[in-house]
Amino acid sequence: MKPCRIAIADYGVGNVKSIASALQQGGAEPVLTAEAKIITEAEGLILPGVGAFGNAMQQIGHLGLDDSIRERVERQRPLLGICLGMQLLLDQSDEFGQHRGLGIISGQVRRMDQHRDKPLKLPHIGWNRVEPAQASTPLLQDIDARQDMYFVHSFVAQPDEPDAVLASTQYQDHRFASVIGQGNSYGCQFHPEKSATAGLVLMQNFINLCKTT
Amino acid sequence: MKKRIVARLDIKNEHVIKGIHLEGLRKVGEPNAMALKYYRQGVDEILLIDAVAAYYDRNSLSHIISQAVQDIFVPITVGGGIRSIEDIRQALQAGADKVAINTRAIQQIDFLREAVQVFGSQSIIGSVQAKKTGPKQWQAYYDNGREASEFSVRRLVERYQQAGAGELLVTSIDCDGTRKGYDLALLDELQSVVEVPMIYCGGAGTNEDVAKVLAHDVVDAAAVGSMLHYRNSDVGALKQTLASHSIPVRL
Repeated sequence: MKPCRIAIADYGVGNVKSIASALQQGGAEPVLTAEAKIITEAEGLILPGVGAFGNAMQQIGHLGLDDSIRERVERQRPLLGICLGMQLLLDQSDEFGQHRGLGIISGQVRRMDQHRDKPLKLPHIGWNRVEPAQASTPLLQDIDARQDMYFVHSFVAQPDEPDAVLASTQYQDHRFASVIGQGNSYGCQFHPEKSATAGLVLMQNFINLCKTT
Repeated sequence: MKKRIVARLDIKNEHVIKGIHLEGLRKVGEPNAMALKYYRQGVDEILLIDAVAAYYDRNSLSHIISQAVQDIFVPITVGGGIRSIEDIRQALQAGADKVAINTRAIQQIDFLREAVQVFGSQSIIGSVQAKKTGPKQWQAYYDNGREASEFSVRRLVERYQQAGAGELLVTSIDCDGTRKGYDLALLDELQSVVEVPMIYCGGAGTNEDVAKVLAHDVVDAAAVGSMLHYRNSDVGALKQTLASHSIPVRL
């Protein structure tokens, strides 16, 4: 059987080695690429991301990947955005000025401590609980509410539609969307590729989703 | 939010070594095998320090990182000999998630500021090597604890935070490798100045030592080295002890 090919969009934002290793462990074939055709047609696509929102969108625009990604979404092919890659799915972000996102899931990206009186220790770095919001989503299968994932971020996604929030996480007195999804487009704020066994289960779920879609 | 256990591996010429007060280095094992062992025991993060980078003026851990990220799925931080933006890029490209910067950031705080602008604050850890110089006085050292800087620990923490460091790694030189417990007096000093997550390092000998230090709000993560290397404990047993003290940990 041909291995499931999953593209990792290469727009020059940091470390993708662990994502590739996690996909390999799950029996998939990772392809780090900026080629439009592969981005659109691979069985799965991962948008990685460490760094600044504006810079990442600029790279994506420069490489002409935004149209390939949107075309993929129109065709209902699975996509997973990780950390900044998740935030890119929304309409716009406030990080270092206003920047437009991919607009795949409607909503905003805001700094976690915006509009609050009490200070919040940021970045939010470390292991925190991911609590599924609704009964079942294939991405979170076999991940129970007591499992921790590794986060490192200061900004959070705020989808307009409550149904787009698939799981949430509590940080001090602040609750935010830690997994979002709409159709076959998903995003997680934590790094599954850095979240030990629980993270690998999520990666495996994504691979399974890519195989069956 | 969980408190983190960070396994610290000081590396010299392909070997994990461990000294006392960052000196007198003894070989204790092979880096990738030890990192993998601690990962399987449930450690939350791996910290790889090039212990002799200062002699060569560069960090030489890239190949160890590249191998580690093939089967270790927790964050990896690298430190020692990080002197340029290119050094950071290399470490991150090899697969590191964060770099800890000490000597060059002490000499030139703009280096840390630039690193934050290029790679984001989440990737940049300000490293502080603290040495007690008097009652309630700690001076920041550099070059792996060999040279005294002009800054007090407090002042250096402020400088790092102002420059945008996303996290701090504070090592007590006095306690390092002693396995006699962390410097808790220094924590009182840090409590009033630290605003970002902090990894505290130096002196862990028993599970109880770690429980004591993690009970402080200002400590987000405890680094352990000797205690694991010399098998005084393992990560699983350590976390069980922490959980029994009601310290939130990932099990």
